[in-house]
Amino acid sequence: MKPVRLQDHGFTLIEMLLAVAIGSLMLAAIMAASICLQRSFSAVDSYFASHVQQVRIIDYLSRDVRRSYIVTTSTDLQTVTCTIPNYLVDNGSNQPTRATPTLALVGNKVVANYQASTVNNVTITQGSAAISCPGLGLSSHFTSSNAGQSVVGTGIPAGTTIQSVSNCLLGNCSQATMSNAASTTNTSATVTIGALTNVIYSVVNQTIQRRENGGLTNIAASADTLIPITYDTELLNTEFTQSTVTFQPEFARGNQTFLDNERAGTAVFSLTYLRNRRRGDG
Amino acid sequence: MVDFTSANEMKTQIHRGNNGNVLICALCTIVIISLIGANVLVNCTRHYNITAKQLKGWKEALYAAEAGGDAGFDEVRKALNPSNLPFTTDGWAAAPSPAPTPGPAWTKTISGFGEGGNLSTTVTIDKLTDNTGTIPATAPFYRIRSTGTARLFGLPRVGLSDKIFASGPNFVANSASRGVGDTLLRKVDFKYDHFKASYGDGDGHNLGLSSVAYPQITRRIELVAVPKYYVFGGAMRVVNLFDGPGSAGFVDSYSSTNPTNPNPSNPQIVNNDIPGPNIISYYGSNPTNSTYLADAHDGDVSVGTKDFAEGGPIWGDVATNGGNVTHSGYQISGTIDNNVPFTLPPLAAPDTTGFTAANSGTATDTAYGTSDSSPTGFVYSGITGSKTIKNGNTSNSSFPYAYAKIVVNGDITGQITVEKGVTAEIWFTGNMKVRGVNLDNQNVDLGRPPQPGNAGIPPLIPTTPADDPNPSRVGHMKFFGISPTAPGATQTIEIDSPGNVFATFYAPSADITVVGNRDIFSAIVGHSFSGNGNTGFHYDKALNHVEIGVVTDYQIASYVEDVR
Repeated sequence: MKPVRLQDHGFTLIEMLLAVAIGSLMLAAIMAASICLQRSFSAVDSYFASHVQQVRIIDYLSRDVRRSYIVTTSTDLQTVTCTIPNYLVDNGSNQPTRATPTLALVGNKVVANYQASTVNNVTITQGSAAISCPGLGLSSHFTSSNAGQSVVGTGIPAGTTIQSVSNCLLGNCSQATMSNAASTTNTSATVTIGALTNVIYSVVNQTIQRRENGGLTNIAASADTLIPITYDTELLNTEFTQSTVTFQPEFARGNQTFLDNERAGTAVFSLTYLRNRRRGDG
Repeated sequence: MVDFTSANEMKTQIHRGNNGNVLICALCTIVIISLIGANVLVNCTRHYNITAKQLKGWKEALYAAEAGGDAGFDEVRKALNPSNLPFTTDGWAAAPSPAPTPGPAWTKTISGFGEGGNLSTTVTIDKLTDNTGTIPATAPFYRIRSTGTARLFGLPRVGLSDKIFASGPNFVANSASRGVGDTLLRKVDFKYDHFKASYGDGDGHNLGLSSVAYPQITRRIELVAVPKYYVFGGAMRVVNLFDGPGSAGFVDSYSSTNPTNPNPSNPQIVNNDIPGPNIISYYGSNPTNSTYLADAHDGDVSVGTKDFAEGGPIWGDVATNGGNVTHSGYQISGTIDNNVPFTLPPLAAPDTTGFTAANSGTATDTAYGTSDSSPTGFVYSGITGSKTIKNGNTSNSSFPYAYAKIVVNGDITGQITVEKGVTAEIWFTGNMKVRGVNLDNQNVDLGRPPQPGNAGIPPLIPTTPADDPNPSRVGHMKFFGISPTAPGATQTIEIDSPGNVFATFYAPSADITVVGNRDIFSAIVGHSFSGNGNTGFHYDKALNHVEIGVVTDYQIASYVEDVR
């Protein structure tokens, strides 16, 4: 008996073509599966990474809102401005120390300020940058050191500063000029003037930015497609914000309605009360 | 015979493994995909640790800090009761140096709470005094600094650098750019306490490298607790229950400093502008005088529970704690907030050293005190007869006003007359049951803000008497219900017909009832209020700016978080 020596036989062309075709199909399937898996893994990775960014942004925003005196939101709900007491004293060594609080009376409420002062019975006129207080003999008035400092109060746009003071006697002044015109008229307003911290959250090229006194804080390194929405609600004696941050998942494909639903499904929500709005409450 | 020559030997199949290429390719593919998948899993786990573990610790650290703040504030409130000695028990001890000026300072640590005992808090309280004249220098205020620490469970490293030495990129080494993202926000301490290393006690003292037992997150808050002198910021503030005016009654407000307002003893009824069956109030909107409207809608009512009932309208804001009050279901002109919890501490008896003692019968006593802080004192065993407090300073050309402080160790059922110019505090330990006419407050509203007088230059320029510092008629008769100390004891205040009332009531433990169709010119702080007759309750807005002369509570005046 002669055993067959298979290795001595070649493939026919048809066999070869058939084998190559089947092999190619199998490789293509494997490649496709690999690519899909990789994309899927990438999407999952991106989803978690974006989620981390979301949570961090919400945490930052909540922390700043919680410690704010005043919070305002833009009409498109995507820019939030927080005015925060300047708790830390910059002594130039990059190791700031804590400020000591000082008390002031606002109406019948005692409030505590850090590196700031409170002026009562201020007259603010809509459309005018000039503000005034009653008289130099009263305990509450502007001072010559207020020039250049931030000023906050109802009817005063966020980010406003005192440009100059006038009608002064011994450093106590009854008139001041702001950098912005007032948005309302109030003849008995209370304003806080001093080294206040101004934090602004805004959307720039689909990236949420946080700026503290103009300086950029890196809170979300790659926050593309993240969109914040903040509602600011004022109640009887308090104020709270409701913020939502969403992003567009990588896998999302389809019409706009589908995309909107996909985005809505990623929402991270936060509700934060301004703790300082209850300060001095009776 | 079998031929075993080479030409005829049996041919065996040689396996060259040419099919193994496919196997290797498949294995490689699986390995590659597995590596990718493992990498993704590692990333996802890391992100999970960041979002779950780190976030949990971050939030719980704040909860711990706020718990410490609450414990500190609770201890501060103990100072209201003279029989309590705050900061002496329950783990409180003197704070380590350096203490603030003038101090002293106390500290307490609470640890081992939270899931698995992972939370701890250390609270430090500094006693400070105000030098701006905002509050009396004799009354301290308190700075409460609380540190909350949460131990991080799970993987020790969750994406942050633990380098804290001089060559490290974060924290101590480069305080100008303390990392990015989570490093900047949450500042996890893996091996060392970054805060102590960078800032010591927060003010630059006691800097040093301090290792931590476990990875942890720490958050720091600072509260400022100030004494409360002004408690009548609205018409009524009750802890437990409000059963408001009947269907023909209402709550509104006026201002005794407004010269255009009518005399409260002869109020003017005008139409108002909120819908409902009862559209009148004394000081509601008046088309011919807008100042009525400006003063009329501050009859605010605050209830510390959800128990709120109302028949007639309330011209002001309403706050409850968990209530279901709506504009559609009630007649309320102002803002409604159903999420305002509050408590009122019990009111302790005042010191009566040097006071003149008398019985409960009819008598006339004269007050010579010239300020709330230096009144003429009387102690009565009760008031069953007719007590009259006369003004002993009427002959004083510059300040013809007098202050009296009366402590009643018993019930009040008799008559009390307060002469014009007298501001009387009447403290009582028992119950009060009187008719409106029994509370005879002979003062009048000033009708304008008070002005200081002129000392004059004798003999040409005569002295101009100062105005009464208290412009409110109501504010001249002030009742204080001393909280019962016996367990389960209650206190009641009942005001019956006939007669209107011009007086304030601060009685945090008293259940207050107004019977009949009274007009009550007042402000009330109590345990509960029931006045479901056709009571007209009128709050004088000037009371909002009148000190009641005693520290009734402390309140949080500021909240900041130390984000370093």
